[in-house]
Parts: sequence; structure tokens; C-alpha cells
Amino acid sequence: MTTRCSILVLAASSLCACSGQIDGENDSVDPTNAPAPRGADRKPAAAPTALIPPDREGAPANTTPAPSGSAPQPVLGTSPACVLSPRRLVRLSASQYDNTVAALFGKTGRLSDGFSTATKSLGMGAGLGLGQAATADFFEAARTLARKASAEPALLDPCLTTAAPDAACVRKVVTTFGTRAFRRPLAEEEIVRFSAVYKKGVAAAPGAPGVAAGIEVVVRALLVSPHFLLRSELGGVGTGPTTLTPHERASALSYALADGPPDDLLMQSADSGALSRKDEVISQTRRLLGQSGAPGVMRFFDEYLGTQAAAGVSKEGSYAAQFSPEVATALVSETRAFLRDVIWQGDGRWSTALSADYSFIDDRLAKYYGVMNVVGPMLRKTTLPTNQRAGLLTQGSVMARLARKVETDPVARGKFVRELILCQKLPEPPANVPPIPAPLPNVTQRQRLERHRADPACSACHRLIDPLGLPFEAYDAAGRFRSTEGNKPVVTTGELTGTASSDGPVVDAVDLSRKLANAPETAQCLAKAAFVYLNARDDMPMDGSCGTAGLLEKARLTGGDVRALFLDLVTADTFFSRQ
Amino acid sequence: MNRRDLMRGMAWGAGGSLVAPMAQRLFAEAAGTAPPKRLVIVVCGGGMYEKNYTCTARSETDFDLSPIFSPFEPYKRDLLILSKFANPFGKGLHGDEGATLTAQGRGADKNWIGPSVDRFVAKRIGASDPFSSINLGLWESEGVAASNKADPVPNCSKEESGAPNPAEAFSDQAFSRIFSDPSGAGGPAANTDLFRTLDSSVIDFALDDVRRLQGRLAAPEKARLDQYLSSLRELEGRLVTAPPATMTGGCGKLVAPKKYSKRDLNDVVLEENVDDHISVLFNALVCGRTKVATLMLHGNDSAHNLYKVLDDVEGYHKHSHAGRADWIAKINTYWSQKVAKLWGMLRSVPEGNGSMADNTLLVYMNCGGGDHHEGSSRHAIVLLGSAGGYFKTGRYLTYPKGAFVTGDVFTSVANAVGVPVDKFGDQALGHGALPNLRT
Repeated sequence: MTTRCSILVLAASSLCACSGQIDGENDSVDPTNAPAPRGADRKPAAAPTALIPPDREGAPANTTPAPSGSAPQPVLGTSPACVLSPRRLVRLSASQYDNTVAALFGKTGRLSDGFSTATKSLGMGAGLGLGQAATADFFEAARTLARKASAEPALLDPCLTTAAPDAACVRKVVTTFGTRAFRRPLAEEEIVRFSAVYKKGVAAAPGAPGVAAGIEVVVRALLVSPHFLLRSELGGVGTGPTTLTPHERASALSYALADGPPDDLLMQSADSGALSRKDEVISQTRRLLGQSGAPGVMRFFDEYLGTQAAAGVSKEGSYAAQFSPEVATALVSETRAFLRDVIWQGDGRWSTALSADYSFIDDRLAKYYGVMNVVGPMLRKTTLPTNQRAGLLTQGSVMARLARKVETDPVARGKFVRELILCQKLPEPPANVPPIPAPLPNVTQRQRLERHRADPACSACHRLIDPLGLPFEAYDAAGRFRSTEGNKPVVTTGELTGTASSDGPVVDAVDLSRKLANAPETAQCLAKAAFVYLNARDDMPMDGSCGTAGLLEKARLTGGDVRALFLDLVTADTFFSRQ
Repeated sequence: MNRRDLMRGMAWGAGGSLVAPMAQRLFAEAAGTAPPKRLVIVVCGGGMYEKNYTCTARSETDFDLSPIFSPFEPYKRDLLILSKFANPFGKGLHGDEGATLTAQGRGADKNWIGPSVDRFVAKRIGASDPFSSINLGLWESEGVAASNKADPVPNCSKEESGAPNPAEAFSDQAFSRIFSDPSGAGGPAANTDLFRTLDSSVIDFALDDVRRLQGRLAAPEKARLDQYLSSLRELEGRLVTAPPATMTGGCGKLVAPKKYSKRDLNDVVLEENVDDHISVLFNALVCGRTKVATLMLHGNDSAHNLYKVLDDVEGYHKHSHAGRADWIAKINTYWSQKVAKLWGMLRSVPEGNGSMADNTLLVYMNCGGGDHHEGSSRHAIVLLGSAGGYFKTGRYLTYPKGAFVTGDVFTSVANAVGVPVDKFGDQALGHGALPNLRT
């Protein structure tokens, strides 16, 4: 397995369900990870038989889930198996870079729009590198920003506006700007070195241009420094287990919750050492979570649901007109506004997000959803037809993305629910399973899949996927509600399986969404995804170590309280502990 | 190759003829020395049917190309078609490209063990070039990108540390980076000397910063900074130490490729976009921006990429699962056409007593060593070019199944382009250079 995370966004994909590696595999379930004997072909995987039970991969035989209502377990020390994240340097992601330079220079636009795809990236930054393209992108962005600073030196400090700023001024600028850029105080040795760079720039351009050249070069030097581009999670000196320093904590908290650098209050808390205390971490976390919609939290949901990807979806044929780029963009805005409302204005529960009877639409989306009396381009909280829509999964941004150009994709939709919403692994595909039969006139998607499932090699996977995907047949390739497919009525029945207590037949996607909302497994799945994302890890310890048992239990009890979940995740000792 | 292709690939400044002036300049600069050797690697994914790639051979030099290799007919004398090699670390599953060019498995940390052969060679023959290597791929979809967060565009390139060497997916961005002329930028440092002085100061400082930080780090994080050090040094080569003449466009005026959005390219392969990638790669070689280039034409994850130019409405994945050998062959042939086109472009550029192709080795292969999803012991690898007379070309060679590994082919490849190595890739499985390839 590569470093694929559990936050796996599935493109409109009717890969046999059975194709592709499933995220979160570890050695215990991926024996093929070991090299095959020399010269040996990999044997086709055995026909899959059943889901790997959720939450039990790798669990010791005597592991017992915490009983309902029991107190969350202590974070560390409960199990010797807790494997902490390593000491590491974490590169800023593209959005974090934008937000960081905006905090330094004010409005800068999204410089990352001009970055190459090799530099743009998702996630919290683990594994992101500084290869040729990224280095060149950051180097040129630093040049652009430094030019802005040298043209407007007052941005850095009014003392720079004089004809020949003295050494004290330069030192002051290096100290204050450097501290903000590195998210920590500079060492005396660093102040001296950066001040020397300024002098070098001035000397290179004798006369009036010297000050501008000095400013440019010192700002550039700061912005291409590894201390700027990489967030330190190295902790204390020496080797072995450690905890992040107060300033590393400030950055870890801020980039997780605000997707940007620490603000003044957080820096002050780090400066005073207060962030070493748990009560202060909790207090700062509460503050950040209550601030401007916590962009880091919203970014997590963007990646978890693939929301941003929906903006790039296009359709063909008759669906092209219904799904214009403007509609695609509006649908993304709708999902973000909806989540913001549920999390920050509503009860904050994932179960609500999965089943709410309202959303946020403008006049364009009103037409899309077939709703009357919504006027104007502002998104308004609106009740949607309750027999057609319920919660996130039935929103256009999700349905249109999980569809092909001119046809629906019940397999992609079913896989999305099984893997992303329930966090249940699908078995490895058997080799060379046949494809889903090609579309034929007067043959519905349901009928095509029925024929496909008739083959035992396909059935093993598809019986786990199709009953979760077919209820969404009420939404066409563009995500619009429909009651017919061609000239035949759409059948939307399905079945929820693989849960402890919510299994059963469903009549349609609205019914399925409500059942999913009530299933503890969905809240626990969200907790897993958030753990993986915030800790920038490949997977979540499923033996209950590292505090995960308590996390999952709390998620179950609260129906996935997002605010509590993020609070718990970033205030857990694991978040700041490294080895 | 027709005139339009070449025009598109290289549109020289007003009044210039196509290639000759550039070539002459290159050769004048290199007077008295042998032309440099270059390495180009084109990789596709999804597997290849053995029956599709098997040629009819009466002897190793007397053979009929299989249909999927038929685009190489004009260049048959340049060919070495080699099969059947094992790479047990490449399982042929979607998204499993990592072992293709490393010929190694994963370490204890589950990351690939590097380097890939392109980076291995690049570090040794390209250190003084503006770019030690370039790595291009095709954009597939947000979904594929999201499942490979640190390496969003399918490709096979890995650093020495095993870290991804991400591919560039948009040819206009790659073009801009590879051929940019920073001395033309404005601002307070518009004066070229000052511009270079400031760049120099910034890079010196960053290098110093990296070295100081490295002292604190353990191996894995040190490797990340090694990558940054190496990238900064390449940047330094381009911006600071390269002579100004090169910086101001030793290659003449090139036409930037069309700018595509992700939306344009989601799940489709556009002919013009593929051609633009090939043009960027070609120009990077001709203009001396690099000697090592890798292009992934089709990732293992490209399940739904539709080849519209072929009227394909299913995609390679579905064709594979359906066992539609005809469609697989059709798409394989399309890939071969593109590789042959690139080779034809290199053939058309005079160099020394022959052409650039004489001093270039092109490796064309698939991540899969057999049919879709399975097989790791039947890799076919096509080599184009003798690498300056190192290989005896014009031959079709089938090695006993599984007797040699892909790492053995890469051992020969590295040696052919001037990088001596006894054994590339997994040391336990490798045998060293392949027998029967040399002149």
C-alpha cells in the first residue's frame, strides 16, 4: 500500500467494486505486501466472502469494546501498543501556504493557484515533499511576495520607509517578521544571520534601490527557509518519546483547526509556555473552534466528502445544460454552507448532517432541486422536499460527483457509503472479474447490476455495494431527482447491512440516509476519518490504544458531535506526542 | 512525423528554420566532445496482454512486429524488444506504480524503497543540467489525486529516499517552469546581475538553513531535507550558475502549450494534451534543459480515462475486465504511436554525425507485467536507440520467463547511458546487466 489515507475520495467510479486497493490496509490484511517469490506471478485473490468486521482489524482476541455509557479511556498508557506519530517535519499544504502568507502580507490572492499539480496537495501535509516543482513554486512565490514587501515596506515596519534604515530597524523587522513567519521566536544567531542577508542585498544595489533589494532578499530568505515551509513536530532534543514544544503545539493546533498559522493569542500562549498545560490547550481549542467557522474543520469535510472535486465535475449530453459550471460551483457552496450550519449553528451532530430536511440554496439551485419561492443569488436555508432529499448524501454535490458523464453510477455511490460513511473494507477483487454489462436501451442500471451479480465472482463484492448504491438511483447523472429511467419507473429499494443494530431494507435514499444517521457506525467512521486526517496518519489504531477506544465510544454516544470530536482529537495527548 | 507536429513541438523565432539553427548551436557548443547521452522513459499502466505484445520471430533479427508495436515499423532498426521479466514488487493493481521503476519493494515504514531508475541516472548524469530530470504525467481526476495526496498525478518516479518525485500534469505549467526566463522579470531586481546576486544570496541562505536543520534530524526527516537540498541546488544551477546566454533562451522562442483546466481533463485523454506533453518533453531535451525525462501516459489508476480519439466509451479498465483484447490492443497501439512519434521527433534533430536519437535511449514499458490486475513475471520492455552504440539494436529477444527481473534491464539501461552500476533495484533478486544486449 502506498500512503493512501482513509479519506479516500472516489471519483465517479464503477471500477468493479472489486478493483483498487482498499484504504487502511495493514500488513495483517495485506499479505501481498510482501514480495512474491522470485519469478512467481501473483495469484488471483481468493473470492471474497465477507466484510472484514469494522473496528476489529488487528484487534487482540480479548479486546472488548467499551460498554455503552462507560467513561472514555485515558489517552496514553492504556496499551503498550499505542504507536505514536514520529517526530517529523510537515510541509505546508497549498491552502495552508496561502493562508500563511495572507497572515503575513494581507491580501495576496491564492498564490497556490499558480502552483503546479506536483505542489498542490491535500491532507495535513505528511509525506508532502520539496521536490523540483514544489521548490520552484515556493521560490517564485517568495519572489512575488518579497517584491510586494519591498514596494510597500511599511507592510513590514514603518522604520523601513526611511532612506537608510539603521541596524536597529533591520533587527526589529527580522525579529518580528521572522517570528511570525517561523511561528516561533528566532534564535539570536538567526537574527544575526538574517540581518546580514539584508545587508548583502543592500550592498548588491548601491544607492536608493539598496533598501528595496535588502528587503526583498531578507523576505525571500525567510520564505524559502525550511523553518517557514515545514512545520516542526520534532519536540524536545534527544531521541525517544517526546512532546511538542509550546510553539509547535500552537502551529499544530492552528493548522488543524484554522488551516493557517497561529494568531497572536495562540502565539502569546506559546510564548508564555501556557500551551504546555492541558487546560490552556482546551481553552485555545474552544476559542479556535468558535472562530470564523474553523476553516480547518471545514477543510477536513471538503476532503472527506470530496466536495471541492464536485466543482470540477462536468456532464455531457442532455445533462450538460442542467449541470453547468455555475451549478457545480453553487452545489459546492451549498454543501459547505449546510455543514457550517449544522456544525456551528445547529446541534453539531454528524447524524443531523446525514439526515437533515433542509439545505442552503439560491435561485439557481432552487430550479435544480425543484423548489419554489427562492429568489436571488444568496444561499438561503430552505426545506427540501422530504420525500426526495435528506442530508448530505442526497445533495447534488455528492450525487453528481458519484456519477458518470451521462449515467448514474450506483457502484460508486454504494462504495462511497460502504467505505467512506461506514468505514468498512471491501474484500480484495478477484482477478479479471467481468465488467458490468454495457448500457442497453430499456435496461435499467438496476437490471444491469442484477445481471452482473448473477456471476458469483462479482456477487461477492456487489452484494455489499449495490444495495447501498441503488437507493440513490432516484438521482440522475447530474444529481437531479428523477422518478423514471428512460421510460421505466425508477426502483429505489435497497438494504443496509453490516451494522450492529440498524440493518434492514430501505425504500429509498431518504430512508437509507435516516438509517445511516441513526447507525453508530457512521459516527464512529467520522471519528476515524478525522483522527487519520488530523494526525496525518495512514490509519487509526484499531486496538483501542492511543485513546481511540474512548473516541469511538464518545462518537457513538453523541451521534458524532463534530465540535466535541475535534476538541477531543486535538486535546488528546497523542496529538502532541511523538516518538 | 509531419511538419505540423514539428512546428508544434518547436516553433522557433521569426524567420528561423525549424531545427537546424538550434542544433547547430548545440553542436558548436559541444564541439570536440561526444554528444551527451539521454534517457527517456515512457510508462503506461493497466497491464498488457502477452498475446498482444508477442512478435512473430524467425530469429532475433528477423521478426514481424506485433500489431501493438507496429507504429515502430519505421524505426525497427532502433528497436530492442525484450521480454519476459519479473518484478514481484509490482503487483499490477491500480495505484501500484511505485515498484515499476524502482524494481524494489517497500521498507518497514511501508514506503517504497528508492530510487527509481530515472532519478538514479539523473543524479549522476544530470547534476549540472538546469533540471536533473523532468517528470510528466496526465491529469486524471480529483478522485485519483485525493487518494494520492502527496503524489497526486500517477507516475513512477521516486527519489533515493523513496519519497515521491511528483509528476507535473499540466503541460503549460511544466512548460512555464522548464523554459521560464527569470532574467526577464521586472521589479527592483530587474537588472540581471542584481537579479542573479539576490537569487544567489537567497539560495545560499536556504542551503545553509537546511544544513543547519539537518543536524537535528533522524534519517527519515533528513531525507526530506535532502530532497530540498537537491532541488535548491538544481534551482541554483538554473538561476545563478548557468551562463546568461542560456538563461535568455538558448533555445529560441517556443510556443506555450494550451492551458487546460482539471475539468477539461477529468477522466478523458485528449489527443492534443498528450501531444503537448510530448512536445514539452522533446523540447526539454533539445534545448538542453535536461537529459532525463519520464512520462506516464496512462496510470494504473486510469480506470475511466476514455480515449475519445479512439471513440472509446468504456476505458481501459472495463475493456480489460471484459477480456476485450481488441480494445486493449487498440489502446496499446495508440500509446505506441505516441512513443513512435516522440522517437521520430528525436530522429529528426541532427546531432553529431547522426541525430539526437542516436544518443538517446528510450524505455517504453507498462507497470503491469501481464494481464490487467495480475501478472508480474511477463514484463515486456521496449528499448529504442542504441545509446551511442552501446546496444546492438534491431532485435527481438525473449528471455526465459522469470529468469531475469526488470531491475536487470535497468542495470543495462543505466550502464548504457553512462552510469556504471553492477545491479540496480532489489539486490537479492537482481542478476546484473542482461546478457546479449551489447554491441
